[in-house]
Amino acid sequence: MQITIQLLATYRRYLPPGVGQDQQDSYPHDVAPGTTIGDLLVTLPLAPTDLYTVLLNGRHADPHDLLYPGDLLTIFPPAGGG
Amino acid sequence: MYGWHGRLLRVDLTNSSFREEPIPEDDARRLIGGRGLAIKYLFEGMDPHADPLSPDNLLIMATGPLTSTPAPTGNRYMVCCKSPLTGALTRSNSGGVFPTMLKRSGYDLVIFEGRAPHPVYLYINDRHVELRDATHLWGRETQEADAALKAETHPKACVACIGPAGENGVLYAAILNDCHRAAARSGVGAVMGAKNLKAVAAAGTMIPALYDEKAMRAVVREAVGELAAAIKKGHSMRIYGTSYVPDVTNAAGVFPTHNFQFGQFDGTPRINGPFLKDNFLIRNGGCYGCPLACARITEVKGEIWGEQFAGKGEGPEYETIGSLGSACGVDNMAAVTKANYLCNELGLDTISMGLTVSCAMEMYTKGILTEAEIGRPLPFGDAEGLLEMIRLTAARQGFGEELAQGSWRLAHKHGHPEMSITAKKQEFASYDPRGIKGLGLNFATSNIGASHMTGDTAYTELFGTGKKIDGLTYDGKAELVKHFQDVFTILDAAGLCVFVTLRYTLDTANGYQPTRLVDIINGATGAGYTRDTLLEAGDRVYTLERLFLTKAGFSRADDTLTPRMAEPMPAGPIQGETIDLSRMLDDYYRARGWDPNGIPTRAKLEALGIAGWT
Repeated sequence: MQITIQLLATYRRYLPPGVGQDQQDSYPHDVAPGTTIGDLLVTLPLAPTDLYTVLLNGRHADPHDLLYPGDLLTIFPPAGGG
Repeated sequence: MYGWHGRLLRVDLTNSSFREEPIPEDDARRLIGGRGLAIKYLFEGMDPHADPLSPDNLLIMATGPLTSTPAPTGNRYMVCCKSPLTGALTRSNSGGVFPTMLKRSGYDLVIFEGRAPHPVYLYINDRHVELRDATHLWGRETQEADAALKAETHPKACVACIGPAGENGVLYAAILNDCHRAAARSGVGAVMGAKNLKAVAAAGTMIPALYDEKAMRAVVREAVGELAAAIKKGHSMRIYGTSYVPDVTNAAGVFPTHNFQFGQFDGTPRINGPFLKDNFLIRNGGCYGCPLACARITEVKGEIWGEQFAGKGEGPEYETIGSLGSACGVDNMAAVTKANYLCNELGLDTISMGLTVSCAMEMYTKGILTEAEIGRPLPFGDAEGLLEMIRLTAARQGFGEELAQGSWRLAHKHGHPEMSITAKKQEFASYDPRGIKGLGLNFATSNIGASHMTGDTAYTELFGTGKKIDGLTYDGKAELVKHFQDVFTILDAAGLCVFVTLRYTLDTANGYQPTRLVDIINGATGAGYTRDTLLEAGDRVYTLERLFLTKAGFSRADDTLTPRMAEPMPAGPIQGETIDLSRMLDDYYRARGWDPNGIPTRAKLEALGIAGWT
């Protein structure tokens, strides 16, 4: 099933090649039904030492949350400020 | 006293005189410094009912014990007085270089009393003080005034000054230092203008000795080392400054759009960090000695973007991108950047300026204000209209006379209080509290009216610094807000910047405890705080401020938010959300030790050792 992954701030560097032109910061991604956020995160190219915050459809999310078709997963460094 | 000069300068503008006063060490310890000491002098020196634009208001410029020390970001000062915008207190903070020079000029604090008979400026150089005529500078924009003052005082002098907006009494006029830095909120510039005080120029070499410099530097090295490692990997604040934030708040549906009617803005990709960096950034800038250097030194080239937007300067920062950008529906980054430059040159708070214009835009859109009244159409997205409104406001000409009073007076005059996005008449920071409940409680209970910098719980409710909690829940938010308010009070009072110290001198993963912070403060001052007594000192300062507000007539009835916050968010990730303060306010007063009407109790004052202050 298809979801969208959005990478913000310095994590834009993990966008797949070809994505990131013209202010684009998200891309479609296929996952198997029953995948949780936690399951997905370990497959992404983020480094093991990268700290991150995730939002699911713009809201507070837990690694145990299941993903559904059409979901938007937003990932960004927990920098704060401004 | 280590870290301190142990003296303040009291300037009687009415009689053109000044004198030094010692600062009691006991007060310094109990109130930390800066903002904390300022409230003591406000309490002792003025009537809380005084008219903020009268000679009876005090204007205090307060450095902290860590200003001009090796502490990371030890380079800030506060401007404290009674606010003409809110009638409450101010706590207006700025960095750059001026605060360090003010400390090095030989004083921990400068207190201005009365009103000068004609425009003046204060020049201090290594404890040599002069009150000089500023008639020839009155009317000049801030950058012009800055250059002129350096030329006539000392090439190494740093300047804090007002522009035409402060001279003309715009209720949210700012004090600019080093041309591009601002003590912006709550109308501190108007108070300075009302005193006929154009500027302060400070130069000097006097640096107080530190208690245990070696121990202090060891802790600082740890903190800065961690920051340096993060910068090496790629730190969002170094790469984008605060301008990385629009993408985050937009994703979370809390990015103020069209005067906080919505929480997501179509134009976000054109006013975000990457867009600013790719098109306008020349290089990073930073405050004196800061290891992060997150500031944006920028330029808008007229030949590319239009001559009406051409300019050079610093910024915009996130708050400004919200208030002058998405809140006004303006998705033209050149225009937002130019608007920021204008506010700096004229001496205006970008947050209140933007949200007052967006208030007018909403009223125009809904037919409550007419083109005839404004002098032109003013729909959302009108970039040139925005720039014209800024100029008119600073000059208090035409419709600018209305705008100069702020959105609360404008909206109430026309019978639409929900269109003024304020708490205690001060405009919100660029975060919609319907999605960040704790921050909403902070806006409502802040001693200076709506401000994120009095206790920015968005760090944990949205960004997840240290720990991510849900912004939509109410449980535990009262205690969270109290803690953040106390922590931010400490950072303000010490003379530090939140952007580095929050993450690297507090243990953000474990309740934001002041782990390294207490060691850094003790290393500088020898004050001997524990984590608990330092937090208690923050609570003490916060409560004293609240006591001043109480005497000025504030209570629970004023701990409110704009009626807009009861309107369900119409769309986006937090569709349907409102914010209900009644679910947090009683718990908050209990956590603070105040009575159900929001008044500090006798027992609380005794526990803090300030019962004699009533």
